Amino acid sequence: MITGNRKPLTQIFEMIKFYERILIVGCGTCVTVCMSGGLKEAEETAAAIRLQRQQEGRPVRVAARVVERQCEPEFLESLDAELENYEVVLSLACGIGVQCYNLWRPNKLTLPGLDTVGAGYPVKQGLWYEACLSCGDCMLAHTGGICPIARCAKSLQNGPCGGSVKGKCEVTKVTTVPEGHDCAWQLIYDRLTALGKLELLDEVRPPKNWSKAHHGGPRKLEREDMQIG
Amino acid sequence: MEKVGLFTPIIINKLELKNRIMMSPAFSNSAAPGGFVTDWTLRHYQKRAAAGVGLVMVEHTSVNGYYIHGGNRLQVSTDKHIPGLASLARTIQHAGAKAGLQIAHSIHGVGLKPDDLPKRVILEMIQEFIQGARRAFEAGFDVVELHFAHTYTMADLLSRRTNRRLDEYGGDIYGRMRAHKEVILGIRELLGSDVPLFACFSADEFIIGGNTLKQTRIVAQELEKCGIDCLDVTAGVRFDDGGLKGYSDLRGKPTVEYPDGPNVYLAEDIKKYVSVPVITRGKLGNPDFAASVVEQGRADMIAMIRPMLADDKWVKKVKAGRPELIKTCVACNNCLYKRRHPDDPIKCMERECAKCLTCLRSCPYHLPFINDQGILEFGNDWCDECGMCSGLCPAQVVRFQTNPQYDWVLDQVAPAVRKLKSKELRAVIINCASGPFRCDDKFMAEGLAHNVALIRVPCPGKIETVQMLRILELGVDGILMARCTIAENPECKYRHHQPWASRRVRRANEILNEAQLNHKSVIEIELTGLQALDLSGLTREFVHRLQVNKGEGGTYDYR
Repeated sequence: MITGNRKPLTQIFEMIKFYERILIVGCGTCVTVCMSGGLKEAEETAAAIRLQRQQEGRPVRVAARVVERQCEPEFLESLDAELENYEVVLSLACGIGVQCYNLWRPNKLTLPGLDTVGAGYPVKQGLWYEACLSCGDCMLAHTGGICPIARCAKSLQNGPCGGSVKGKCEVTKVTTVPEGHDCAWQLIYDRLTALGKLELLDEVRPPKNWSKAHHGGPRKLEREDMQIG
Repeated sequence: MEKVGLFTPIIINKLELKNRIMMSPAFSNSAAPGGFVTDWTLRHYQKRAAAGVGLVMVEHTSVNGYYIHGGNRLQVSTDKHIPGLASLARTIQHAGAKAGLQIAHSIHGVGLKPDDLPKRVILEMIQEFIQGARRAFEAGFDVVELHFAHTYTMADLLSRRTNRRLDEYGGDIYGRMRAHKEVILGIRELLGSDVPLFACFSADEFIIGGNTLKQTRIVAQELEKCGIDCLDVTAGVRFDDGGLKGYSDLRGKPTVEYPDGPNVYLAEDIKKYVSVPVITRGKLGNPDFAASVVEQGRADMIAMIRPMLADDKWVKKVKAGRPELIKTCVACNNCLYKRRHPDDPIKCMERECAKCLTCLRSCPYHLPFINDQGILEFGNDWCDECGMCSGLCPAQVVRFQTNPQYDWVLDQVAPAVRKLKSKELRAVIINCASGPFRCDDKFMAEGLAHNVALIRVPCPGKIETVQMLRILELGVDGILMARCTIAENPECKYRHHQPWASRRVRRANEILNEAQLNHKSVIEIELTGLQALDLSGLTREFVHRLQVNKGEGGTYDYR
């Protein structure tokens, strides 16, 4: 799923300071599941905005809504009727949702209320790790199903760097993850050992073709046979 | 004899219906100012008509622009309304259903009772009904339903309770329904006897001193004599005793507590006294039950709206023999009552489960499971109703449906906060409802009731962050959550919630800090049974601290 964090409230307040009628729209799929941009978070944000405006003594009308997926225009229709009553939309969807809202409802400005973090998975209830960078050229077959592109800070393809200490990545000292990230190559080594397939590591992998990733420009996916009209 | 079912065609006067399902004329709040049809109205009816409903009865449409009920109502009060209504009728007919228009008049909307009305207004109203019916047929509707039920003028006139008039429009049941007869005869005189005309009336008002079957049997027979082609038998929705959401109101829109079709018996009874077809309504969303009503001849047709809001393809799925695909209406009535904004049109508020599996992971009894079809299921039989899943559900889909209209903050906390005399400093104490925490006498005695509202809940751990924020929005400066020591209550039903109090308080404080709302604070304390006896002392300290530190924020450690 796509994960994200709600933007700091001060940043949100700064973005919406000129508006008095704000519609907060959550997204009912990925960010609901990672508990950062669903209806509940939209309601929390709405309550926080109202409290802040109460403190400032400025009027505000905020409503919290959710649509199933903001990246599909058909789902946006359910809010069209009340959209006219608001000056601006604060979307708690991922970056895709915000762009789609702007694209399909061009008369309204849609502001981002969420910082998209990446494609991840729940390690346990309430904890998500990033696991895929969408590089466009999957190499999981060679690494025992653990992605060094997403889970190694340097995206190294041929073994760890010198910063792997006791199975932890040195970069995590400066990031926000308190318990530290596991070194992806340590995980790969352990996994391949357990599978008895360490010989996979003997093969030296040539430099990756990054043009298939975002570095080749925005990618597009096309199925001509599925296109209508 | 041929077996009659939901999908057996029926002919009423000149109206040929392909099945016996009617979309109830429920108010959709979608009209433009002036009572004109909007695109939303068209879509709303088109979708359900296209799904195979036999007769789409368009909602309460007012015959008068002044005597009108609140909300964005459609009107048929002038000829200007005809083009919009014509496009609505056309849309419904193109989608394959017959179109009907329910016409109504409301003095309740302007706060009047029948005895306040001069006779002139009643005579005008009768003419307005006749003209309304004419406009409806001119717009191309196949049938007109006269709204003689619920809380509108015609029902007020009909009611034994509210019609206290001393002239010929009051008195016994024949006098009370004189206006109704004049409307019907007037329409028949103007438009002839072959236009299909339905009448909707409450067979039992469910109010003290209101009409019951004893009176409404006569009403039904009289309506038939005047030339009504079909009787739409409803119930209740009188606000005289219980008001909105009172008993009578809910009989008209039976909620989750009611069995399937609680009002079918009324239609069944009326049907014995008349020869015209009878429609029944009220919680008929269970397709098996709905079919049984028609098959057993308890009513000739069924009408529903809420199941069609929950799933606009209800009819299509039932007809295809795939009732398991229906998105079930839980009869929570949120579509009718919980409009988030006064101008929002009617829609089902039930949301889709995001399948995040939070409930499955967090249930202390490990009841939710993924069944062999890959669908998330709740093992309801074993549920202890601790409410953990509903509190954690991020999509707010899992809920306990016993009283779906209940909003804890608005219904319980807000009145208590409003009662507080102090405007400078107000605090809310949320504590456990049991044992030593029951100490409000002491609160009163020690003069805390001036500043502090004491709210007892099954467990403070059940209060969600957003609820805390909403309490602060009421103008409250601080919330003190007093929870028990779990070691002392190992058997408590809500023991699994207890640790959540501190997490939720932490999150509320994170949000407050982020928003730089440091003058408000939410504090949580854990008390042993003995300490709980001194809750009022602790509260005093909390209030004092709030007073001193109104700008500082809640950093005070009570333990």
